[in-house]
Amino acid sequence: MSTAPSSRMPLGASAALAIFRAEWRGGFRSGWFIALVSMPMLLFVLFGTTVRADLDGGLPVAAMLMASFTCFGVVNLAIFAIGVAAAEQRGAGWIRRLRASAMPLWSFFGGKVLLGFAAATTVLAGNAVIAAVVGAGVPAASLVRLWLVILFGTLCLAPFGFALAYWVRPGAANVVGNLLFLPLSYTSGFMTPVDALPGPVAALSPYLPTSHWGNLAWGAIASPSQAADFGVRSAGQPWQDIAIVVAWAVAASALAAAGWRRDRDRDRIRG
Amino acid sequence: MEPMAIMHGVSRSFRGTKAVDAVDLTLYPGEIVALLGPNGAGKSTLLDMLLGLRDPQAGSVRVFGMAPTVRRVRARMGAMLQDTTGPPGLTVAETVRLTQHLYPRPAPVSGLLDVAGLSDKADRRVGELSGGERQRLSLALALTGSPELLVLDEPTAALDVAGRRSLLRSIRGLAVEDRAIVLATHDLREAQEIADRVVVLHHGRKIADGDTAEVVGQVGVRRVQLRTDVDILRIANHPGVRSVSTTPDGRVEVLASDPEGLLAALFADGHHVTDLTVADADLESAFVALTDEASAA
Repeated sequence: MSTAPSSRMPLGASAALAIFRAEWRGGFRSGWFIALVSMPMLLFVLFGTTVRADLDGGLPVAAMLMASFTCFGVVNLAIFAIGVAAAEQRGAGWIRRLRASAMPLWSFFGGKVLLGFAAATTVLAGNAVIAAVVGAGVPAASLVRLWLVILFGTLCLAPFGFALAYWVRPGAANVVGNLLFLPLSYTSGFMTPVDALPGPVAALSPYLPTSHWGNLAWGAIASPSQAADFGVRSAGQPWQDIAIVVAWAVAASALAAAGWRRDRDRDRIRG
Repeated sequence: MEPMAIMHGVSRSFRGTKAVDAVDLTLYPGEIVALLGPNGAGKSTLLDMLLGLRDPQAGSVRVFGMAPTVRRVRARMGAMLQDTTGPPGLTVAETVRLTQHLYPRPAPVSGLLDVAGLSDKADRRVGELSGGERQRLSLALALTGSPELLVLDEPTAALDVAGRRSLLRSIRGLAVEDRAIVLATHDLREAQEIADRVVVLHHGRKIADGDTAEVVGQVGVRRVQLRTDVDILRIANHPGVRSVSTTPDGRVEVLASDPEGLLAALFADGHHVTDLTVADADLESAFVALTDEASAA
């Protein structure tokens, strides 16, 4: 118990890993984190595994829905496990305490992103096992491609959570998180195919980062023709999807950075 | 002796109100300095600037010869901040272990828990701790980096008498030759009990700085307590009287620069005076006199 951390690892990396481990452990001890990780699996079991159709070439639609519900889970994690949790830590003064330490700033965000990676990987692994059990498994190479897309999405969506954490009052973060999460996940076709959404909602879809990231996820396990058959509008144009997702991530990062500076410089007389 | 920290003419305003106004503060190794002042005096804002959590709008802050935002400097400082709590899902030991990774030269967990008096609470979740235990955890976290400069913002706030005494004893035990401790408090007894030096802040301005005897001497008053038939307002108008109040047991308490003159006048006018005591002013009396003087200026 009294062992000091190894000095071989740079302080920033050691701090990021420690934050990740603490968040992971503390998160699982609280029921809501378990709910965040298990909900996409439960939804996949209820609404994904029951679909028995195949796409051209024999790819089960359930496999595509496995990717959909995993993406849904990652959006959930970025907004709630990263964003709302950070907002609550800001409210509790924990982030201020971290700022007063010798830890570099990036370690805090790095630790949160690692948490997102680990939780997203857990969701994907769970959904992949469920898919395999119901006969909708995908080849290992496709699964690895999908995993990389999921990590990319986690990295690009985490700034949305950080922006939420720094711009929204801690007490309102949960409500505002829902206002952000629902359109991001619902209009991107993760729950319902985009073509089946009401017209105005479907029209929003091409402008959202999650929609393009979903295209990448479906494209990771399906050929362009299978993806097009599933309803992916930009099948075969991954660089366009990547560029749009990255552009949104840069914008969200800039917003989060501005929020961080605002929080740091906020004037109030204390004591 | 080289100072550890030098704050020179630092100011910070909030919507036109000066929270801290041109304050100078120098901290030396081996001393415990109490920043004393009522709520809103600017103590926490000053400490925030010392820690580099807030930039001064005027003046400069140097800690170990560098800006306090430099990570090498922060590695040598520890802070016990107000209104902060650890992650509620972690245990006490896990929280301290996490904080170890935020410093290059962390102290061992067991030693930190011992100093903070939390060894028997190591496996308790942070969310289940009492207010006093949270303050103790906060102290352990402040000490994790083996700091040379320890900054404590209202360390005994919201503690009961026993908890306050126990925490002050722990803090007093942290005073070593190569460490400076600065703590903000509005509790005069606490400052008198623990500090080598007292800095009095009032409406963001420093109005006194010195050891307790110096600060009391700076006021140049003595405390007179008596029972008398004289109207309290008449006493207040006597030359050299700084303040007059009534004690809970019904005696009149006077802070006066010339108690002999006051008593001579009362006797000369034939007033009754009983239960008379004349004593040197304590820090509390000095504080009242100083803040009254500053308000009147």
